[in-house]
Amino acid sequence: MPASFDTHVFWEALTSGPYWKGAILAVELTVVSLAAGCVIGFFLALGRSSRFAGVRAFVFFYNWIFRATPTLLQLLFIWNGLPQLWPVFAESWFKPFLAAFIALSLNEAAYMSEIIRAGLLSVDPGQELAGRALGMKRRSILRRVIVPQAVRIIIPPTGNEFITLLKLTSLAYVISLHELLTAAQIRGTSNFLYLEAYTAAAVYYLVLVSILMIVQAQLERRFTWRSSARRRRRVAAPAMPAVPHDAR
Amino acid sequence: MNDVVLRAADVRKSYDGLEVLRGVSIEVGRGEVKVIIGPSGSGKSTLLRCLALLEPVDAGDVYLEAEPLSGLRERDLTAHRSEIGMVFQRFNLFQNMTALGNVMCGLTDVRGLKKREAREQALEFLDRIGLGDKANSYPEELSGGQQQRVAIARALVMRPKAMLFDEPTSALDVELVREVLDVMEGLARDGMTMVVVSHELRFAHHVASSILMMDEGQVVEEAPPDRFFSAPSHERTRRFLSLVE
Amino acid sequence: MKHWIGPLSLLALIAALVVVGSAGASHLAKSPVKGSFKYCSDPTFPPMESTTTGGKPVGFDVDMATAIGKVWKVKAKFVQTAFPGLLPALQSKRCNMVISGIFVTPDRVKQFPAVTYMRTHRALVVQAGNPKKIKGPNDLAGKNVAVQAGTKYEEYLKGLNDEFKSSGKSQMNLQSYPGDTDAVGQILVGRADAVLTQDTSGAFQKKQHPGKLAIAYLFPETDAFGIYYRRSDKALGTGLKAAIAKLKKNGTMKKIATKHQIPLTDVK
Repeated sequence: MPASFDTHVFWEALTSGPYWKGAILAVELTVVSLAAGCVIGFFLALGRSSRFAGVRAFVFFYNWIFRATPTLLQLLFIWNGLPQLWPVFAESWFKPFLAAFIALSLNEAAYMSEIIRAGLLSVDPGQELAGRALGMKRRSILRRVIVPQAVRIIIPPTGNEFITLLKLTSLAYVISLHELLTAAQIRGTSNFLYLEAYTAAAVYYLVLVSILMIVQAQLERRFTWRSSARRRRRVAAPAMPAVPHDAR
Repeated sequence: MNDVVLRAADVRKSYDGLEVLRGVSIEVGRGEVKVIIGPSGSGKSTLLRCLALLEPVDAGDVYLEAEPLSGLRERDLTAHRSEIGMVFQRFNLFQNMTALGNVMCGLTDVRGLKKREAREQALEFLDRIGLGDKANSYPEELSGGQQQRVAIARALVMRPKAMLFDEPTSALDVELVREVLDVMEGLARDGMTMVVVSHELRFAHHVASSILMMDEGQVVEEAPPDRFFSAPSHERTRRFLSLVE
Repeated sequence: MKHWIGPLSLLALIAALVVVGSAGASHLAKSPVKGSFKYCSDPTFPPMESTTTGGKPVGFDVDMATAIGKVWKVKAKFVQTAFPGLLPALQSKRCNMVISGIFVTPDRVKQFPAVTYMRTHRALVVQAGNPKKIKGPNDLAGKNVAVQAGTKYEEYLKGLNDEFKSSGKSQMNLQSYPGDTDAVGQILVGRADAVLTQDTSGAFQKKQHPGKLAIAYLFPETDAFGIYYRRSDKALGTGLKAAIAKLKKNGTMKKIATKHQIPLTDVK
């Protein structure tokens, strides 16, 4: 076959409705799942050092199960497995987006809990000691001292998680949720012009991730505690032990 | 005899089976400055943390103005901790707040003051220790001596009944030690009740009401500075002094 | 003179046989390929083609390809290819033809000619007993419908939904899945009320899950399955047409259809 790239077809794909809608859907799903994952993950991270053995055990098993099983399996379990246990999940109110949101949030929470735990650990213990010495309550110390300092460490790996999650959303096609990658696949198989269809999708992903990188850089600057005169110089966040990142 | 502000009565404490405090008793009257010296591992810092109510004791009791505190619930302990100021060897300033923010923190979060009032008081204390112009600097940008002085202001602004210092100058470069000791001497002159763990013997001689020698989890000797340095009664005290002087 | 008659008669007999034999040979389907032919197929569409748990390809198309091979006295070789890659593989000469339950459509025929071998109907598959009383496409309004993604079935249903919208009827809750089997699975899970697919697939699924599924409606229009080949391969095209005609005539097609529970009318 002669090597060719039909720019017109590429542009058509790039500006088509399914691509645009698919990209918006992927971003929506990523943002809400990451947000929920962070919140749940935060409590899981705290639970790891709870004084109740039952809480610690629960967190251990939760992380174990959600990190060991493939995300695809979790999606299918929630979509096709739950109705077998409780037929209420086969009803039309249980939309694919909702199912994907639940699966991805629970999954992400397991990974975020380890990232957050590492972030909390990275804060010098003297900080909490000083807070206690002042008479601050543990909740205050967390909120005013520890969490802000932990967040600075947590931002880079969380950016990673956003990117991973964005790409994971394409798995939801198995539960009938059509997003960007599905739009590309369908377009490619309908006219056999794969190169143009896939390149257009790749462009979308590149743009989305680039936007994230800008947002992340801004966030990191906000959490650099130097007076504004010094802020102009770039500050690298202190190194933290690598959180295992599986290709899942 | 003036009233006792802080008292430890026969306190015992172990970590992982190792006994660190073996029946330690200490009494600090109002306005007194007690300096504790001794070899490392003698339990000085542990004692200080117990007095600050940061560590529970295994036996014995800690009294703040005659009120026994060892059996209290965490909720009540928290309230009392704010009445005892603590200054750490490594300053432990809150990295994510300016000097002003650090000093305000206790006022807003513990005493419940409004931000404006807290800021006013904080600025006043920062001025008092000569760091008013550094109010908006972050700890990363301050020298060790400046950080420690901010730490002292942070504790002081809570108007504590007593101030505890855990080797406050040990982590400082030599030329920065003086500025911190000056502040501490000023506090002593103003009548603050203080317990200081330190190696700065000249400071101790100059400022302390009495000096305690600790070794292996016990108080070996306590005496006013002149007697302590010129005629120590215990063998271990003599040996330690000969090592450090 | 008399002893020349024997050899002469023998010669005449041989000559006659040769004449008759060569005449008969033109009815014998001469193989357009030497020794064997390759056909591309995607074994994810039972009962036309699928794989056993051991990975061996089975199905109507597999049996038909073998039968064509028998007619030509050559071997039929199965080349596994994903559905979207079938026609590109034909183009790049990775196989001689495509036999994969693939429809004959105008846009495909523009590139590659095809020989029709089966006509099938679209079907609406529902839960056994048809609890939602679906008698035809208009009964799908307001129901939960599952379908294989990227197919003409999905296109049709989307168009139907637009019709429902403009005529004020409630729309279908339409969900599309990667595989045909996945879509039918949603009926078994209890989520979908109906699935639009081919009657061949419906029949197969019914057999797989006895008592759980039913065919509620057969569309009157038919779609043709075809064997695609390269335009330049004229001899192959002629040979295929002849072979298919032969298999239909001698009842082989009917036999294969019965084996896979495909309605006999489809292979008339």
